[in-house]
Amino acid sequence: MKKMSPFLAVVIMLSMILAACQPAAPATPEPTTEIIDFNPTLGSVQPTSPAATQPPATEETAAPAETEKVADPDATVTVALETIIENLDYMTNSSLNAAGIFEMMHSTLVTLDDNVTLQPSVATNWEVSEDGLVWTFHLRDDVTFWDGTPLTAEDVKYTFERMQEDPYNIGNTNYLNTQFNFDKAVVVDPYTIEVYTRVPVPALLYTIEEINILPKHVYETLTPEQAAAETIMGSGPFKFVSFTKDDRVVLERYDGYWEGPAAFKTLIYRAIPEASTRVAELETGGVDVIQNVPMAQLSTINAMPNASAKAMINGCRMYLGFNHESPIYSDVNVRLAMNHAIDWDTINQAFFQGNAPRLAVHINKPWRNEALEPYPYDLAKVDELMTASGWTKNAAGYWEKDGQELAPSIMVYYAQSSERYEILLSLVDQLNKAGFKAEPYYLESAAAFEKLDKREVDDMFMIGSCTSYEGQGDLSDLAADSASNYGRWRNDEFEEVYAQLLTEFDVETRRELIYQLQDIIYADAPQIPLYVMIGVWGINNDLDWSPNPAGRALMYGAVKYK
Amino acid sequence: MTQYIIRRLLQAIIVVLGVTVAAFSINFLAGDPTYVLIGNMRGMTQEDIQEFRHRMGFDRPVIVQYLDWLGKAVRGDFGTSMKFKQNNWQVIAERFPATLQLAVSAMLLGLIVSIPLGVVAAVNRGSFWDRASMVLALIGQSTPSFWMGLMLMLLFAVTLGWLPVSGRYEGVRSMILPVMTLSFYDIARNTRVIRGSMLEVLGEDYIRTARGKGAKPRTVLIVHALRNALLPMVTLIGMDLGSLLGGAIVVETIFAWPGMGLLTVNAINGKDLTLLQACVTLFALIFVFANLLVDFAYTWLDPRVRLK
Repeated sequence: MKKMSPFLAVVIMLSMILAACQPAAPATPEPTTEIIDFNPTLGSVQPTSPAATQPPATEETAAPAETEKVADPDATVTVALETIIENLDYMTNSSLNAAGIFEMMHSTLVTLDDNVTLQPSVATNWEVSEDGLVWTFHLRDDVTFWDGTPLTAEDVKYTFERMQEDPYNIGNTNYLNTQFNFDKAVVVDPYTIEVYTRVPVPALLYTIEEINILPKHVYETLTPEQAAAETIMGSGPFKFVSFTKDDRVVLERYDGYWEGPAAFKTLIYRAIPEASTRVAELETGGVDVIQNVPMAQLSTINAMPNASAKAMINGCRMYLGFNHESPIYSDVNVRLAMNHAIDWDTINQAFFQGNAPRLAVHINKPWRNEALEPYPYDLAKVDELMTASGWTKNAAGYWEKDGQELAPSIMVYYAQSSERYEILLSLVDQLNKAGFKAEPYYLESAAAFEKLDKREVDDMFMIGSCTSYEGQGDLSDLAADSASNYGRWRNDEFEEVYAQLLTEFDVETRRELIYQLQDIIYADAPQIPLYVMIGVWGINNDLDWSPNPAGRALMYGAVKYK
Repeated sequence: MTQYIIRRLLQAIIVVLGVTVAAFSINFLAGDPTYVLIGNMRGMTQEDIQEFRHRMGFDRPVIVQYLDWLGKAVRGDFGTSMKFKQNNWQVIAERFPATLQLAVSAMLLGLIVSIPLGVVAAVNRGSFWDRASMVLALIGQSTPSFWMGLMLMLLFAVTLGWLPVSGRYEGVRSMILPVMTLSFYDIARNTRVIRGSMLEVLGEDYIRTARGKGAKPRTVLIVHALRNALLPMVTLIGMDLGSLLGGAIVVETIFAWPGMGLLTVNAINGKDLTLLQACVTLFALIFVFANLLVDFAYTWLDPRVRLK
């Protein structure tokens, strides 16, 4: 026995080392990851159809006959996210994850479907006044809160008014308010409401899509502290059960939900910040869904017998920006040359297995003009453009003019679950090969935004931009008076057309204006557009669910099989 | 003795004041705190940003901000968490028991395992047991806890399926992996300390005298040698509390253990500055207080300290 103990110790250590060295992928050909791209349609202003009442699959209807799987209505679905909600009041939460969780507990006037196309929800239809300042919404009369109280126009009015007040008017709510330009709301009857805005807001529906309707009879009696810590009441498909900070939110199916009850009973959102732990939980069946799988772990997920990975193109676009107040980068030839210096295909293969094509302009579908081609990798074109602007290559192979080397410093900031710094290193190497003596540097995000806001970025920066799926939001990054126009680009032609867009309601005219703006951007190259980010999810094979392009873990339509 | 205690208390107060400066400085670590709290400026104008800065009091001189903050902190008011919309002490009070549970368990496990290991290694100096325990100590001290945690998780949760991967919902079973991870370094370090201390004590005259008086080997070992060899452990236990709380930041993140460590990490990621200040101050106060207790205990256990 005495001789067994050290042996056991050695065995344990060896097992640990072996566990660490276990192959990431099986010897057999590994399955490829499904990349889901969304294909939204235009139609941001007028409802296209009656409420999209598509109840989730039930036991009788969900199971595909060929697999003979049977849905489990009493199942628990557990979703592991990096973070969950911060408190119980959605107006004082700002994260994307929190937005998804609250969306499972509340209802909105309109909603984005899985193709990020707007659909009616609590509002069945709506009209806009001639001057564009009054929106009249007609509400469903069969929506109830969890306590059975009907959702009426009074609740909508109360919600819109509440979000203007302190302490709710912060973070994302503040952002929504700046988009909303809310003036007042008038209740016409219990199921009709007029919403007045201070200026015409053609993209209003994309803003109110994020505004969850709160029950006036509950919240008007609560202090902000009580609303944050003590209670929650909604009309969404899942009722609140419990919340443990930084740990989990437990929800339970609301059978009275107007679109029909969910196909499973309990929904748990867990906060698991470490990606490897999420992967381990998925493998052991501890959770059914995990978010933000690092690209490096894709093969691990696909090798699991009980799970697979799904990658979803989301709406966040990465680009390299220029400091347009610098005389060097105010030269369009330099900007175009740097666009031509990027060999994106190589980076795409290395980081995204070829699934993140380069963008020509940083605009999301469906407003993106797909006819515009990204500037091709062309070193001869780089030479031609730089020479035309009076730059010559010095002995070291770098561009030089008036004794000054073209040596852009490029700032990037820290972001969880992102390989952006590694990608920037590759971009810098490519720029160096094209004669631009680029140097990257890394900052904490707050320090980076401070630098951007104070116009202290000397040369260039790499940044992501996530907006709604309405083209105007994406374009606001380049509007002269926008705080997020970090490069301070200004183009009078752009400003003129953009001003028209701000007050134009007709969808087809908006599309034409947005295409016109993209032509201006494309020709003047104020940025180097890169790619649309990809969110990878790991999903248990017994769960029928697809991720949402908005990046929210919306589980209402999921079906779990026995 | 009284003089010594007063001197140590004064020193502790100076350290705590230093800690408050460090904690307050968190506001400015990443530049202007306005940008830390605002995050994304999409849709905001310069006027909005200025108004926010004024509302938060960040446009006042730094010394005024510090004194204001210190005055409140002394009264135990660390403000409201930006994230949780709750008093920071209340948030900490909810989370502290989870971390204490881990830290105390890890400390006990560390002592239970390391004392026999150290004694056996010292008594059998140069033997296989001595070498094996020293190799184990070397591995334990040089292995980062995040790696050790993931390896234990892979082995016991994923491969063998004996224990849950993460969380705090399966009682003792949930505790095993985080506690093992957290105590691994302590076991290694304590084993080395006890071994060294035992070797020193075993060479003392009074051990020879005890043996000469005919005391049984076990009595010599436990009553005469171990009792004195454990003196350095008093210091280590005090320091342990600090290192275990610090180590909990990594371990709690890996095992999704909702304690102070995870709270601190999320306060950093979520830019919850007031909560972070409260966490840092609490960690530092615990560390200072534990060391103060160790010093007092030392003067009681070993009179030579107060005589010096």
